[in-house]
Amino acid sequence: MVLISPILQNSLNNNSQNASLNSSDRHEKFYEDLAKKPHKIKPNEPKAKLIKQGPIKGMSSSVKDTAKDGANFFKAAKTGKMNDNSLGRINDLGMKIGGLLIACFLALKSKTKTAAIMEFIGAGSFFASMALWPKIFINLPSKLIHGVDPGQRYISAQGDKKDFYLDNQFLVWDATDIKDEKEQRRHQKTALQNRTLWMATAGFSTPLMTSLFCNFIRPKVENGVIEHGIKTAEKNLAGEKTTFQKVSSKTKEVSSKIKGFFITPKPAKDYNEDLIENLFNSYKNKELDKKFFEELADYMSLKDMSKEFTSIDDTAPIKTFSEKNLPDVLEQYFKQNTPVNKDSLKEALKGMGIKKLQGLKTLSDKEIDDLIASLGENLSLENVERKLKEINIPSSEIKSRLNNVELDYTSFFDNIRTYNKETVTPFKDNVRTFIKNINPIVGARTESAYTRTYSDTLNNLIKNPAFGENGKTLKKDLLRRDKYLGNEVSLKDKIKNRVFSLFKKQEKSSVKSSAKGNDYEAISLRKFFEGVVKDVEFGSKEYKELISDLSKPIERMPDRELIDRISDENTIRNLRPDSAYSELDEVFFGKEHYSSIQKNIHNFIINQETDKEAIVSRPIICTNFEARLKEGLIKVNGKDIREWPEALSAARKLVYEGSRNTIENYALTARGVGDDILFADLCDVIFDKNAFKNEPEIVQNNVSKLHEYTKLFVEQIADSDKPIPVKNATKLNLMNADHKHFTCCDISDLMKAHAIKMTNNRAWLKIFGSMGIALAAVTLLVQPFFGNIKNEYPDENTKGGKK
Amino acid sequence: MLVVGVKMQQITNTNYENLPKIGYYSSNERRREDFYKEEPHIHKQGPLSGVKAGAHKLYNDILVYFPKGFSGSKNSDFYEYLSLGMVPYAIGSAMLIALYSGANSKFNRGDAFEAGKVAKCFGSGVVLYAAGKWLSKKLSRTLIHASTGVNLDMLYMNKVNELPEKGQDKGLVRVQYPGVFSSVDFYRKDLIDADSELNHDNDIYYYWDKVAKKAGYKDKQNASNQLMDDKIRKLDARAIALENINKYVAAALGVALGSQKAFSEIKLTHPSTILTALKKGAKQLWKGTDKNVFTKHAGKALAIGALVTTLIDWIVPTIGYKTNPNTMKSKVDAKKEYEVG
Repeated sequence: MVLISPILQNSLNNNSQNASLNSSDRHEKFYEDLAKKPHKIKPNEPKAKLIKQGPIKGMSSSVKDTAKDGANFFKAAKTGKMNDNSLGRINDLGMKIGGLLIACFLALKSKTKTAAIMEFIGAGSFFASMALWPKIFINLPSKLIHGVDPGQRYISAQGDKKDFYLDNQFLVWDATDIKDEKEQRRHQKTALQNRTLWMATAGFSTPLMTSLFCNFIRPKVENGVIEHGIKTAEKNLAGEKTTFQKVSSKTKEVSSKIKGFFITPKPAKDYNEDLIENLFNSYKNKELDKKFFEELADYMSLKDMSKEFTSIDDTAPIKTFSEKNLPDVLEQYFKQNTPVNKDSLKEALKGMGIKKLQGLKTLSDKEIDDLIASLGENLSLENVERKLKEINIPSSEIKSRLNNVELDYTSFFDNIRTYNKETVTPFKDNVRTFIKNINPIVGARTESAYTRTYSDTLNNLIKNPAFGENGKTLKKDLLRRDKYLGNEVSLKDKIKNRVFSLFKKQEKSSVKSSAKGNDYEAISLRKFFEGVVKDVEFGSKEYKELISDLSKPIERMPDRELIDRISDENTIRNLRPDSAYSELDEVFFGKEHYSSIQKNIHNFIINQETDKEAIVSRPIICTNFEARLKEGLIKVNGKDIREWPEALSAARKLVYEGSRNTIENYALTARGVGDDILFADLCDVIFDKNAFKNEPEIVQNNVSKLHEYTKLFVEQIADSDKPIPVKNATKLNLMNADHKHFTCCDISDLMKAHAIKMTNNRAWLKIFGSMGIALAAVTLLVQPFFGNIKNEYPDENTKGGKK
Repeated sequence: MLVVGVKMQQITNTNYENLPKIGYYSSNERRREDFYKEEPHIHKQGPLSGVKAGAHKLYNDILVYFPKGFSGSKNSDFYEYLSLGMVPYAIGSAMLIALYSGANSKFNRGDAFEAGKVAKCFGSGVVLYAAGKWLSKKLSRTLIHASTGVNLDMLYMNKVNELPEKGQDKGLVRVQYPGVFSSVDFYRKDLIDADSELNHDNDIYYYWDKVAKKAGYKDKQNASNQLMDDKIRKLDARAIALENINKYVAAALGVALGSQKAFSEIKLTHPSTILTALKKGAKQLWKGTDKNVFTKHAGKALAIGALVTTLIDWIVPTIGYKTNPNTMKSKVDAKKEYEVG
């Protein structure tokens, strides 16, 4: 057999003239023809084909290809036979597996469901961005501008899918219709330039696109998680709704009833049966006394259960009891519900006598049987006792006799155990699920309906058209960290510096020598203000000058009109959030829930304003206080507080610290004084309107507001049943157990967290969003300059005409 | 004339082994010198060869390959395009870190502090991703090298003769550092032959004999190059396929390690804190958290998974490569004389 090169073989087979000839003749004829016309021999038809498919088909085929990569991996590991292209593709598969592993691991570490879901979305969108960036910002514009697709793919003769322009020096033009050399060069050049652009931009674009997309999608995912949580909670609680309503009609404060669930969410304990067994054994042949029932209650974890349940549920086996009467209630229940053992009862009744005139007559066997039969099914101790009394057996004898009777107490426990298992535990679980989904204290703060309601409300506030043009200022102010919602460090610093420079200028204080440069903190505030007023008489001309100097920073306060507008009732009404989350929240929070949110926001803004005013006013209030104190003008119940250290230190706390967290500070201060009434009097003197006549209006306003707050607070302390509007309910709980009131969450914390999140997002978006836009713009703008081949064919341009 | 003189001397000398070589390349040193000047060749491999080649690539990416690519040069080739692939990796890593820490200056102090912690974990994750990838590949390839004698990381110095660009009379000669075994289809056995020939007394079988012995052939084989060719190809393909998976498992382990709390305490001004974080972080990863079974054991599973896949990447190609000497006997006895009919 003669070996013929594949090219010749092709020519041989394709020659139809020779088809009729046999093999050897065909060869002869072939070589004859070859000798005659060698130019007629042609290479094989190209097998390579361009892939032309839309984006949807492209996606489905990329899924198929990934599956094929997986199969190729095992084939390569098994046989060791695989070409470079397929091996290279396994790398992409590995990258995806690695990405998935990372997402899984980080999702496990995530604290919230949203964060966990976002890990997977993040990994997915990272790979999507990697694929989409060149498609949208490079290939598509290139197709539109130059008619060249740098991402064009083809199937090679070996069946591999490859990028057509992968290797700049190996382009399979045979697979295309492009025959003109110049055109080929133009395609080659454009594609190379675009692919280089891709390499230059991919490093920026992939992380940017991913994080921008994730930032966009995250709130939606969070909403989804919240919705799902609420639905689950509602579904779980559908059966419990009536119970809740029952509770709410029974007691005024539902919240206090269920507070146990989120303060100490303990699962219902099972009974310690061994201990109970021992207890019963130790009481064999003994009277069941109070101690027995105390211990029994303890071993049955009844205390734990009773607190929340006996008053909620009418069907509870043991009815309402307090901790004090628990043993009595238990004893009663025990007697009513614990059957006696028939045989041992029989045994006990033998020899038991009825006193008759003719002497003691013991019960006969028949009488005993009749007696037991008459008891019927109700073999409880109580019933037996009653029956025996009926036939005149003395109670002292009954007691001692019945103590020898074996009690069939298993059914008693079964009753309670079943109830606990079937009712108590699921109910607790359901309540916990519900609370978790609507209340931010137990659940993750960011994933509760309550939190979302606040964020919705704040969004509404910002978007509210009622603010008109001022809305913009408000938005700006709300989101500026040094104004309403963030720390007031910069403002504080300004004022401190101002006061300090004033202090230096006046050169009146003895503490001056101890101050170095601007080291304001080095001087104690008290000493400083004492120094400032040392030689100044309260109300004198000098005092007025001092105050007017200190008032200068106040002139730069933002306009108050805005705050007044927010305080408007109509505006507040418009703040109602769009997303109503659950009808069950009415049971928990009452119908006024939404309006309370609006009110909270209103209060929050006012508080912020007050706090800011307080910061500005503080130096003046301190000066005023020290000036009056020096002259003995601050008296409580006619007593100068300089001679009363506790009151003096409380007063100073009020004056020097009562600013940012006004109410909370006052709460602490008030407790420090120890006497609420005296504390109220003290506030009346310190924030006396009449003492601030020389001060600017804003300080007067602030003083009256502070006065109002302190009064309010003192009232609330006195009436300890009312929830205290404090910053952080849990903090206070630790401080004083009497004030464990159900306050959902701290409004200012939520608002602040949300506003700061918005500010941060904006700051982030401003940097990276604009970076993304700039990147996209540059990528698009350079592309028209690509594919210029004029200078590579200079002859044509100078001589004109094509060759 | 000088050459003739040498030739004359040679004839009179009877000790053939000590004869000087004939011709222009009378010594291999000179021949090697000329060959190395003009032709692609395997250069001396050191522990830092890979790092040097990487640095060469990165340097040229910025100064040569990008300008060439953007100008659409005819001379731009696949090696250059692949080298450019390093750039998105480097920029992307920096970008990922920047995304987590770049806006910190705009946040308030508390948030910036918290974001900084996350950024440190994230930055460590990015660095450890690359480290894990590199280490896993390096470990399996070192083990393969030790057990088979085939260094899959072997590089060669390629000399590319470019076409003249506009304004050039003669094209440039550029140096590249591709791997000898980077391509399974076209691994550079010609360069291995040339290397053996030039550096081992004209013995073109030197390399092949060496690896054949390691593969389990006790006796010297005839045409060991043909014998080993298929084996090396399979070794290469298996190793590449497996490492393309296991290096990403190790990379995932790197990210998992970087996400541990210990890394949020790193202070960049104190490099010793990085070591502490590595130690602490590894412990934290291994211990897990008690939230549930998964969080408790995920770290262990990932660490063991990365180690096992890396070892598989050594074991599977090596088992396929090695020959049991007892089962393989040359059919032709080299010491016996045969008649060829």
